[in-house]
Amino acid sequence: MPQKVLITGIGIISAIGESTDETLSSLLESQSGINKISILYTALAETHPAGEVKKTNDQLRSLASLPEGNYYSRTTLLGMIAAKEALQSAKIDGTVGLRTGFISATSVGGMDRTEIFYEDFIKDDSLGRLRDVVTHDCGESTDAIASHLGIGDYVDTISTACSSSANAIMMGARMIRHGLLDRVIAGGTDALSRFTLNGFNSLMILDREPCQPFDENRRGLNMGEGAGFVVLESEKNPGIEDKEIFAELAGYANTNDAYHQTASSPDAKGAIMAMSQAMEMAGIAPGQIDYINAHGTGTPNNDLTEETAIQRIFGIRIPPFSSTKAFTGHTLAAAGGIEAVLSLLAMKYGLVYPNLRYQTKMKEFEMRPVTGLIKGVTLHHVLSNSFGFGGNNSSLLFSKV
Amino acid sequence: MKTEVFIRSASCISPQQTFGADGIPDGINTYDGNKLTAIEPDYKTHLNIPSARRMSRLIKMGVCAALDALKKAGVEKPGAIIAGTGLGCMEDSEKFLASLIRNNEQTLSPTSFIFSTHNTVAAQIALLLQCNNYNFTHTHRGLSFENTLLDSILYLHDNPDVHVLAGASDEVTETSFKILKRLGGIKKENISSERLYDSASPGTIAGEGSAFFMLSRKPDTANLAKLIAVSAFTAADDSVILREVEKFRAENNMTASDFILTGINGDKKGDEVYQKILKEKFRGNPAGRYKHLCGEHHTSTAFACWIGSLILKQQHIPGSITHEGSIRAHAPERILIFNHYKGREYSFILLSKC
Repeated sequence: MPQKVLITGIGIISAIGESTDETLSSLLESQSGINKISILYTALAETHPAGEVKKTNDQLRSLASLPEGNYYSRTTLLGMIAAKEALQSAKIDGTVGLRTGFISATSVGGMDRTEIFYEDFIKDDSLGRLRDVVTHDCGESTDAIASHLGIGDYVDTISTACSSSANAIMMGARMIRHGLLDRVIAGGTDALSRFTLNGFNSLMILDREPCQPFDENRRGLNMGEGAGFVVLESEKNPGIEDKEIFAELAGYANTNDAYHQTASSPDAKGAIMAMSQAMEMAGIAPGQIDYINAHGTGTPNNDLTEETAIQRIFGIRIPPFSSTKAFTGHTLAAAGGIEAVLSLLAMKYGLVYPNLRYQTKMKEFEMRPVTGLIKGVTLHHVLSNSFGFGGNNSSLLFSKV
Repeated sequence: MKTEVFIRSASCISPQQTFGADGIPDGINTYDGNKLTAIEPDYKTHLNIPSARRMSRLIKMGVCAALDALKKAGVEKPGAIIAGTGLGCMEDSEKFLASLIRNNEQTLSPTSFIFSTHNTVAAQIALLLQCNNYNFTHTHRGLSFENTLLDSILYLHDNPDVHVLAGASDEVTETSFKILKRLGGIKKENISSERLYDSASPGTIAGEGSAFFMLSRKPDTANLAKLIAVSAFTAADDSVILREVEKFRAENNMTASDFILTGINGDKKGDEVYQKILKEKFRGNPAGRYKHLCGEHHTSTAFACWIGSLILKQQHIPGSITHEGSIRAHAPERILIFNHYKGREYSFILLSKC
């Protein structure tokens, strides 16, 4: 019987807060983080609101207590802040003879700096500061954070678009269940960049207003940025009885829609399989799910697919569901990690978050997401979805311990 | 991690004539200009699908090698598709970045953005095969392929009846090569790839390629080789490195007859640790080098794994990879691929005869 994987720490930074406490306040006040872009220099700032962390890189560096003079990408800075908070939250200080891994995820790594390099390089090969290009690759931010935190037993980076950090968490759990590691800090990070902002804009799936996930008149998504990490531990770890256990990661699944590079299938095959298999692994029936933290980007395509999947699986008893992307924007690779943290906070404080700015029910289905904050509930089982480009569909199932 | 996973089939696209070859070619392709370019197959024959038109080189190489490995294994749909890449789709990323800068973020075409995500190779394979199963992409620098192997091993332990399609791909573009040169990673003097190890100077030569493998837990006379251990770590300290090597040696009962295939790449400083380890930990072992054949890139160990698998199947070590002055090996039972990337990421992949 493989050992249970428990979550003993969480860390988060996004447009709605630079720490778990700040994040919780925003959620309780239904305070969205979608605003006009003011830090990233982009031609789309006037027209496209986003979930931007309102701190310059220098301020982030200071927040992360990192020395001046080192050149960190914004992706690294965000990840560093969240990973450190997760470690502190799990009361991990140095190594205690436990094999520890760090598994991060990102979609474009240090692209926020690479695009600055490229502005000059494109005019002349000899131009552009090399310090802006050395942080480019996906693994660089992972490496920078792991080295700084002194974690080295296993280091990995997953990059599967918008499901990346959910997959990083899954990978961490598997390493623990196979007895290769005792604990893993897992999650992901992505900073806003002109590359991704324009990428999504070229696909015409960005909303020029604050987004309205699952609404009949939804127009698209808002970009977001941030980082979210959880600390996964084997139930057998010494001292675990003294720790706060947020939940057990009782089930997870990764599937592929195999329909299109960017669009999800009308029959929601991949999404249905991911959610079903996660529940099957946990030995949970659909009727036992107390809340779904949906992928809910606000695009016509995703939200239809996701409601199709929810309808197929849950039938007449649709559990409470909402998309917190209406708060944070779509944080790309960081979404799985950020939303895992939000799901765990919901379980800890007995909350179901509202799906902000929802007005009109989708014509295809009768279901509606939660529209007002619900307090004082006990959430035994929570499902968190992350569906990425390339048909990469992941679901995580958290169970109260 | 120790394991017993069979390499049922393998396919490799590289700067050598490796695609479609049953063995490691006798003749070596040599390259000048410090950059090795993959010899791509005729895609009209090997990847005759409409979507190939929009695929960049990297994606075509990855998908082609993967489909070939699948075909060779006689498997229709794998239980999982797991890929690794260090830099992902550089060509598409560069195209989109250049376009957004030149057009000042106005009216951009989405195609290169769509295909720039790092998991595109694995995603396109799934799409072509209509495979709804597990699909992961590892992008951790010089350990991208090793983490892919580890993931595959875990998957097979949980699902012993399936086949896993696993591999890695990386490309070098004109732009990325210019940047590599500016970063000081490439030899300043122009050398021919076959003289890579003669130049006692800093830097190496850039390369690219894709290699995919069909992995399973099922014994079969057609299996090429066995994967019996994978280990990776990040270190910059010699003493840590030596300790890890010793640990691996002991755990895997290594003997003087094991063939050591090293990632020696001609970089004076970087190669010192290989020399030290060969001398102190593998004295007397036959040893070989492979990077003059594929060039340096994050996932070169996938190429090495292809070579290793074929050597073990055919029980023949081609002259092109033998280390000068070492003991010549014949019919090796086991091959250890020992590599580091930029002196930070270290890995061991141990293969054995079936």
